[in-house]
Amino acid sequence: MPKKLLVLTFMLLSTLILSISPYVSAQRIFIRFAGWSAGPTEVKNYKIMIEKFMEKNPDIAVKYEVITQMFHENILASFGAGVAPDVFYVDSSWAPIFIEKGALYPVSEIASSEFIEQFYEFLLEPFKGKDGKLYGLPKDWSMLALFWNKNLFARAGLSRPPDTWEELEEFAKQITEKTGKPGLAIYLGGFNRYMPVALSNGAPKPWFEKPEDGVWFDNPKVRETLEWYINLYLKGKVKREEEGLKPYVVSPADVGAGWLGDAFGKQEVAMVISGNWMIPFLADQFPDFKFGKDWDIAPVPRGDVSRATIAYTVILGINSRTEHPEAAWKFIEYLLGKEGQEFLVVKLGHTLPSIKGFEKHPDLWPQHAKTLSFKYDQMIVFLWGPKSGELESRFSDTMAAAMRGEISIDEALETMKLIVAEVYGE
Amino acid sequence: MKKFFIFLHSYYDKAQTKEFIGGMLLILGAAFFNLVFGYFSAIFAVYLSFMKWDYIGPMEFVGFKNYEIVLRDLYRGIIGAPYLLTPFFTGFKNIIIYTLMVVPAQTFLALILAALANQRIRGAQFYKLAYFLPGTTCPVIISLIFIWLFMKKGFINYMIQFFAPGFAPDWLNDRNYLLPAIAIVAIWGTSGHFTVSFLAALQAIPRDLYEAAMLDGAGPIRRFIFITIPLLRPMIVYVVVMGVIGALQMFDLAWVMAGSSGGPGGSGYTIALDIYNEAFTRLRPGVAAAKSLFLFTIIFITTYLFQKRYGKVIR
Amino acid sequence: MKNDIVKLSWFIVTYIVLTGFALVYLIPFIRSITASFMTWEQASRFPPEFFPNPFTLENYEKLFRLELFPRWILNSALYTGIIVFGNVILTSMAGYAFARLRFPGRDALFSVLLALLMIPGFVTLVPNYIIIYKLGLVDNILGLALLSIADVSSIFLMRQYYASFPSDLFEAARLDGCGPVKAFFYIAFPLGKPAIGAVAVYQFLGAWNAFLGPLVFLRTPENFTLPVGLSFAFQRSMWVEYTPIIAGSVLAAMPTLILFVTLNKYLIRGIVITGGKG
Repeated sequence: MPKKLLVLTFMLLSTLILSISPYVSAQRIFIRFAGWSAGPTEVKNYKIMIEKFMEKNPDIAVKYEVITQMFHENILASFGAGVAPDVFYVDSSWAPIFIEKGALYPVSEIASSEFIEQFYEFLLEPFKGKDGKLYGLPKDWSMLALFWNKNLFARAGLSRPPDTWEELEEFAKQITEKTGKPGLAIYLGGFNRYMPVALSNGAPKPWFEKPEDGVWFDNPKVRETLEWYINLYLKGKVKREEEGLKPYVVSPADVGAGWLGDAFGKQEVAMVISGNWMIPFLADQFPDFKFGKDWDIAPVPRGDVSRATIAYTVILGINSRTEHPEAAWKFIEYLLGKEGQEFLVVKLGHTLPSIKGFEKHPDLWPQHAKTLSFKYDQMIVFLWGPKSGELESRFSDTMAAAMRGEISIDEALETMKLIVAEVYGE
Repeated sequence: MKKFFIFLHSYYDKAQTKEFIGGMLLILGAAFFNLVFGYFSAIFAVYLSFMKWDYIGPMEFVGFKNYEIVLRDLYRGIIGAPYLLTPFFTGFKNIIIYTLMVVPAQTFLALILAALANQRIRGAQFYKLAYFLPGTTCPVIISLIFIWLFMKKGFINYMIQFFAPGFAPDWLNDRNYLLPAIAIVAIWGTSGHFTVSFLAALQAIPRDLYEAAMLDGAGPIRRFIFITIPLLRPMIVYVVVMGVIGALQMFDLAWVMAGSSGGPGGSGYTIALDIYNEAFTRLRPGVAAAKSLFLFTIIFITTYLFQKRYGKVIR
Repeated sequence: MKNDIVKLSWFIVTYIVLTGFALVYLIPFIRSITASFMTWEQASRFPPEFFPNPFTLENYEKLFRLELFPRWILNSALYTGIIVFGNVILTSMAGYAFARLRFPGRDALFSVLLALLMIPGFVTLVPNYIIIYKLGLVDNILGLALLSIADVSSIFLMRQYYASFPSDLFEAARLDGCGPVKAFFYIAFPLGKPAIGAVAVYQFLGAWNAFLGPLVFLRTPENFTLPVGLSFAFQRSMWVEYTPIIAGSVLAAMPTLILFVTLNKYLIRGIVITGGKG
């Protein structure tokens, strides 16, 4: 018996040792590229592009790594261990952190200005450092829009989507009265979804960097609009249910849905304000719910002053400590250029291309094209400051507490100011 | 030099040689892997707790500042500041309550179920399988399924109507019921695992002990209390200690069911969640390391005390 | 007569308790099985429905259409195999040594190892990252398995198990002049079968369903284990396709079930000691 064990253990150990295969490094420059993924199709497409790139550049080898969850945390840990990839995704909310800490290589030093000019300017704003250098280029983007259910609208006697925020609430009430289904679904919290309301009614663009910056919440326009937004849920659901009436505003969980897209696709609600990511989801999960016939897209409602929307984007960043910045740049240039974006973004149909010029492209999905056609006075990127991620999540929690009626709106505003002071206080 | 050899020699003699070498050999593999992958991290954590770092730049020595932050948070929590401003204290309070809910329940349940299932009754196999099943599912899936079951108009409230009509809380959104909900999921998921442990230990109890007791006229319950439980003591210690260690560090259930911010009123916020937030959302790994050490000390002290009191080994 | 009534009522109580709990434990599982045959549209409806209508195999189809699905199963099997094998051997040896042998520093070393369990997870992430990368073991299933090959909780289990034997059993062997290592292989290991079975089962479960470790350290989709692969295939940044994941987890539970059923007989018919009589 013991002998058998010994033999087995020996075999195990030897397989172990043999499998630790050394990296085959030839004369090629070796770069590592890490991203998360929107599924096996996207990964496959990236692999195809990488193959093509390696054909054109035989002296560069690219290793593609996929980190499915907790991406930025993983990248941070890899920096900590000194083994961060050469090229990696960075979400806009994390970008200031990486830029400020000097983790990213200034792309503007290595890219030609013609190349940079291809991109939408407002998308580049958040990725400029204090020194004015550009630290990354967006690989794609999405924006908010109003999705509305034509069938429910028709049943309520409405023929067009709401144009202003007041109409949004009015229409929601009417739809509930006429059809019994809530007119609007919003997230409990969701500071970034509230932002267009503030901006379009004249509130200044928020930027939180110092503890004093919490005074943004003192602005009367902010107080007014935040109160209105929180009341959407407070009055639209909490108070209505207390009176025994059907709610005209709900959160996805209230109708048994996981998120806004789920609620909309199941036709539990008539309107949601969500982004381009809804489009592939609806096409894939609810194929019978047809764009144009059953539902349509409208611009985000207008406020008293302007029409605004939020843009969400991800950049490809170069590790500032990389040994091969030129190779890394060549790779990014290839992925983000016309050919790359055409294949990776336009054809895939999950997001919008970050380069101008695709608006009339035949492969661009009509739903996406429609969102591109809207005219907005203000388009800002989802970013509130260097610690944007933390701010967004804490602001949203506070708003959620107010929406549920746990704290008063004044208390919520005070808390949000305190949060800014605390986050930037050390 | 000579002293050194004398020392070695006496040490060598002191230890019953064969047993010593044998012992070392046997534990060698296990100890090696654990020390490499565990101790390096532990030392790193202690080192890190005195630093300020952002993963990318260099580490900056800040002495006890991180610990000061932790203590201040606890102090604020004790004097009653709102939960949004005292995350560590909230996490700490919640996890203690949670552990007190989960550990006794799962130990007790596992013990009873193992004892019952161990009898020669028909269908013992089926029951064992049923209790074991929860442990075979991926924890993330479990959380997702339970979120769906715990919804206000969900299955669990539906079933409760048969026993306590009218009692149908919104488990996931009500600050008083979120923690119990998470506890229920934990007990559901892990008591089967411990039932298997107890079942294994039950096999080692000689049958004739029971026979002797039965001849003496002891009924099943008395046999259970006076024979089974004492003989199962080492295993009970194991279940409780592992239970406490696991409960105090609970992360994934809270993450899925309460979200990274702990849900309504922060009632689902645990220390592990706070440490994660500290490390990756607030980007203060030094403070996170300090908090981790704090948690570690608590776990260590509780289990040490428990072991001392109940865990004697060689008789 | 009274004795019979007592016995009967005891049986009834036992059955009610056992069945009641069995239902509680089984219901979520049954729910996943039924849901795996439904479309998400139906599975997420409430009030919840119990009969798939229409009954659909599309979730399973989606799983098998994934080209990497068989590969992930293989990876998980490899990873699990190494961990179960390694643990069974290493932890039973260590558990026995800690429980039955005397050597200086024994209890201290054990406390030190046990203390390792109490270190919260995040703390080990960055340092382990460093070790794994420097050893070149990242994105390597074998390397990842090394991290958990001698799980302290199993050492603990084996120790407690061996501790619950009457000491004369092992004394007898020692008197026969049997060295501790030999004693282990010829006596303790066979004797330890029920607990070793438990260890094998736990480690199998832990490894088969492991998510966090593989998530952090495996990088190419070809190398993913099953849970990570499922998450990769069906979890998008904004939404999750639940029903294929549920179908995947149902399939993933199959091997553990089979293992349990086979080991179960083993667990019961394991050597039952008749106190001190060899």
